[in-house]
Amino acid sequence: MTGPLSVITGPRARGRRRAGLGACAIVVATVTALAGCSNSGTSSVANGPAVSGGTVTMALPAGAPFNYIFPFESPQYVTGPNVTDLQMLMYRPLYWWDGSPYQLNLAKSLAAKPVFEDNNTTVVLTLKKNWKFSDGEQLSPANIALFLGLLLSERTNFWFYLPGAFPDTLASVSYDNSQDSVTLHLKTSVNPTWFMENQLTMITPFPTAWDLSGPGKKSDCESENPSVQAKDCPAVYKYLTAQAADTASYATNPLWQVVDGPFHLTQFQSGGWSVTLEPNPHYSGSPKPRIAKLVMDVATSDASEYSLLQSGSLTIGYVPFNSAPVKPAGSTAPPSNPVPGYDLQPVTAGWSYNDMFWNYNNPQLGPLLHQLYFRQAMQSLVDQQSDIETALRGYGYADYGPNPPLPANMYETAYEKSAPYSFSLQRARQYLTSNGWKIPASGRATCIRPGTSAGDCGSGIATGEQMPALTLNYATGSEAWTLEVSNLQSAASRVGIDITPVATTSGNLAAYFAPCTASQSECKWQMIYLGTPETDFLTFYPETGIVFREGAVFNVSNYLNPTIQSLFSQVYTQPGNTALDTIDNYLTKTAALLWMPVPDTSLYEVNPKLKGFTPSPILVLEPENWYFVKL
Amino acid sequence: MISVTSSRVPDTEETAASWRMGALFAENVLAMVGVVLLAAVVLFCFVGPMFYHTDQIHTNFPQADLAPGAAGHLLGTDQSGYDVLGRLMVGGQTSLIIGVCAAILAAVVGSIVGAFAGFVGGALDTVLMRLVDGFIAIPQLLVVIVLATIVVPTRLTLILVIASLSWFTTARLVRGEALAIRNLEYIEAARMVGSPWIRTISRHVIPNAVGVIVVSAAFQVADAILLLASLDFLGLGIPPPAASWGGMLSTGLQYVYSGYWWMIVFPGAMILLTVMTFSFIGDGLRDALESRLRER
Amino acid sequence: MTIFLIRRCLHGLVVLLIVTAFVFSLLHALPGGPARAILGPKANPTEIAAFERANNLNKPLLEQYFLWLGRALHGNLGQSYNQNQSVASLIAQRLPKTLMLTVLALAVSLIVGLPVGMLQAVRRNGATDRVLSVTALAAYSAPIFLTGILGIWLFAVRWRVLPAQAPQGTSALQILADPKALVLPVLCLGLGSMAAFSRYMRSSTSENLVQDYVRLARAKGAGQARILYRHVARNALGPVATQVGLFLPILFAGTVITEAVFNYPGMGLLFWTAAGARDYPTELGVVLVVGVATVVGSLLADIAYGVLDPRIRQFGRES
Repeated sequence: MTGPLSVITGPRARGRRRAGLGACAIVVATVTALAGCSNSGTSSVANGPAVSGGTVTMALPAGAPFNYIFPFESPQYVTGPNVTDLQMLMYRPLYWWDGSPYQLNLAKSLAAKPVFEDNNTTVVLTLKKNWKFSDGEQLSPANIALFLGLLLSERTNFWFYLPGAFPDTLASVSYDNSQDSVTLHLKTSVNPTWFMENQLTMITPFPTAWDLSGPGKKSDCESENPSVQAKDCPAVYKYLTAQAADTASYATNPLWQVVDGPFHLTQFQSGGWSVTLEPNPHYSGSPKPRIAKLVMDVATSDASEYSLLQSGSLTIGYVPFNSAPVKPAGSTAPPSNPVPGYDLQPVTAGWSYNDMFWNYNNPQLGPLLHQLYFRQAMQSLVDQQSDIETALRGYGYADYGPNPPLPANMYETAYEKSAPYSFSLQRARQYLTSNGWKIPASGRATCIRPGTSAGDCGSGIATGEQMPALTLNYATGSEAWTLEVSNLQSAASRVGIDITPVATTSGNLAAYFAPCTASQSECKWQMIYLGTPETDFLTFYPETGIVFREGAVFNVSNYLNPTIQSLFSQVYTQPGNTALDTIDNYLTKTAALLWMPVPDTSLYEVNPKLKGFTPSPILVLEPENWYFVKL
Repeated sequence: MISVTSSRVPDTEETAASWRMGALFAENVLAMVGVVLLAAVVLFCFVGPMFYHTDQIHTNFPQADLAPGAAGHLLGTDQSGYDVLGRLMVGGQTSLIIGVCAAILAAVVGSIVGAFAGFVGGALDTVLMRLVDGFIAIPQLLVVIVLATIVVPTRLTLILVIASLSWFTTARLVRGEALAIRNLEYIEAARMVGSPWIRTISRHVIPNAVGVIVVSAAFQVADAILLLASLDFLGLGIPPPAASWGGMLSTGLQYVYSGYWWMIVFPGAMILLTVMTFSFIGDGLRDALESRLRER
Repeated sequence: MTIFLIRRCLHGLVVLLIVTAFVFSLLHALPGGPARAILGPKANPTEIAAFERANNLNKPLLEQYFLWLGRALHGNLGQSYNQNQSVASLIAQRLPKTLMLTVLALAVSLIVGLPVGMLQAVRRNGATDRVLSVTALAAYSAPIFLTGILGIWLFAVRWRVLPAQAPQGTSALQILADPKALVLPVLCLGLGSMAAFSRYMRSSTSENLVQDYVRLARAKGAGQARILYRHVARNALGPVATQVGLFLPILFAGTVITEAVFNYPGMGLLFWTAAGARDYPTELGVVLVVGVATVVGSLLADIAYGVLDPRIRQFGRES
């Protein structure tokens, strides 16, 4: 489930994973989330009485700085700092998700649970009463209308949008101001779970104070009339985007000070390396923030962040995995705390799977890749346990299918958990030899039984044809990935498969990333390994179609399978998970992509005086839950 | 880089001059210490592995992070289980090969360009020297960073990249030499007679400039080794399992708070030692060159 | 003198053109182009085409260069692809910080290096000279990241006497207001040049000490110190001054690593992150500015040389 949310490639993509709160299960919050989850770190001092106030200095992993404040941005500005660490703390999305792996937190949401009617073609969103923006405006359908208006006219400029998905599926919207509800009329039925977890998550109510086409020029993009919206919204988008282009004014521009979240921005250091947030005194939700200030610094490098942490200058910092002690298999923490004096948090598992991509349309690799036995053999060559122990230094977990293995969830099927193609050189060898290949003592395998019947090499492969020499482009930036690919290379060489790993910068890797046809020059790539997956935030339902459906934007492998094609539409339109489970089992059984171990996201250290912090698999940050204690 | 007064030495004495320089060099204690140390380092890196076998390709995880002396590892092991002593040897090969080859390549290219520019003079000289000035103004590291985002780092590409950014100083120096001898009588005579440029340049200009070239080359090896270390720190060097001192050092520094001092001290010492060695030699060569000039 | 200045200025302009043209073509020769790298894997072909159109990426290389040059001359260095800021404003924020660091490092290396060099020349080949030579070489030979990280470990974590990062303020005054945080970065950056300048000063001073005018001064009865400070220093500084200009690119290269180690968002780090993100406008802007800084620095150094050595003023330096 590599979601539509793609962080820009570049320094951030160099293995930096983002963090959030709580690996430990947070009880589905009903009324108060006051204590959050008591952190299970190695706390050496008993808790004292809670105090209000205090400044939290938090380091964010090295990468792109804060650079966009308007929660309607194009793909290049979608980064963890911008979205989860800044925008979501100030401008609350309609629905709030936290927990592990993820749960709808209605207490922090701005609407009641969506109601699906008319055979799931109608979605009724009933807004919360008495939710106020900091300028006094009360939450009403107009705020949703403003967002939807911008979305409808500027969808191609919004990162979340994918052709064919919301709002392409929206037929019309109706607003009921007396009931404070918004009803979406969709063109087709939808799977309610998918729609709620992957589509409704994009909605953020905008304050009508933003409905301007120029300084002081009120516009009517919030109108409930779609034709009025079509006329007014482009100018509003233009104005707001222009305001957002001036990062120096973020902390002073009154536009951005109209917030409904628990915090507002008080300082934006030029360059975006550090922001300071303070509690919003008009926050309608609870718990109300108890800390006085939150300073978030984006590290310029892991080395400098770790020095800061070690020198005691941070309240919350992370231990770079490269500097951490080796973690034994099965445990959630390293054997010793690398930063004495701090509370070590349990390791966070992010909500994602990990794989290597291979190109079904590549002229050399394609014919072989279309043979099931080849893929089965390849998957059997990946020694996930060894990779976790050696390459990842223990900070990872095995993955055999398209569902995230951790945190424990209901999507991973039993079949996936059974690890159908776990590491076995013998089985890999068998897959090849019983399908017409001869494996020499050294060198590449050759096909001795061409043809298309059972036990033959398969169509497109001639007699005596050697296994093609494969090129595997993998991301630079971490020794871990280099070790993983060389493990694969050495295992493959034992069964006559010749893989050459080529270290490639992430910029060049990104250039390969597009679906292609065999005749195009872009289809020269054979295998690509990004090293780490991108943890999804805001698209939680692991619908897989985004990668495996024909023509999907993320179908870079050019995967095409008629058997499950028709099932995809069921995933989107029918309730329940049967279609999805069938697809998942099929993808696992047929080794559609080469699954790889998933690296852990982060290892946090927290000053013992700060309570309430919990890392999140979906990268959610909830500083309103934090508080200092007197020790 | 260095200020050198020009040398005007007619034909027959050019070889004698080089010998004289060599003799003066040999008298310099620090320089000879440098030569001895260099020989030791070279032996260590290239001959050492023949006697001290270690596996520097396959990781050995159960044996990672061992302190010096443990389990037969004289200098301990690193985070992947590689024996540090063995890795120092193999890593040194990379650093030395790249450094020396890059310096030689830069010296060759720089000498040719500088000799031509200085000797032929005129428009060619102006254009070439403006180009050279231009490139000197760009910090080497910036261009290397850009190049490293395009090319795959291997020994060959790194040699080419480093050499392509190091020949400028040599060119300037050799040009200076060429300018100096251009107006000498016997050179003018050769030109009037119609002796081809190439012949004059190769027979007179370059030999005259040998002192300057050699000094420059020695320092360039030192700079190249340091540049390689910086590249390794930035993650742009040759990727593992290939060993390099810079890579060992920057990885070792990630464990500075874990107390694994052997991962830092030994590679750091090797870099320091080798760079200093080439600097001693360069210094000695330069002092010898200047003394020889003063003698005249 | 004026002709000298004008010639050097023109020279500098040509140099800048060459520098920018070279880096421009280098950056645009990269395969794949920046669109995909910036917009991410999810970008569809329409978005990519729009991006390329908006940034003139489908025009011929030469035309792109002149477009860029034209805009640059008006102060418009383009918009950073992934930082949501104009390149000019990014550089305006970062340049003072790097300048401050570089100037301080340069100052420290001169203040320490020059006297040490003179001392070495006076005690040439004696024990002091040898020891100082070796120390200087050791300082030059240590990679910046080694001294930096070890320095942090020792002074910031072990002994807790200095902060672990460089000053985080944005204005020059804010930075200077935190001198303890400046100690380590400045020292690390300046260590190499300190060693180099002491070497140059040593050889330059040695050359001068054997000159006739020194012998004359001694014959007239002038004391050693007087000779040194009134006569030799001035002459010896000349050649060293020109080296200062050459050291600017080296110092700047050093800032890339120093800023990474000490968490100091200056030009070095800007270039490094831009290179990783294929942010061409920013890379070009940095190269241009650094080129200008080097050219100006060299010019100033040459002027200083001219001031110090009248012979140069008259006959011009062999360029």
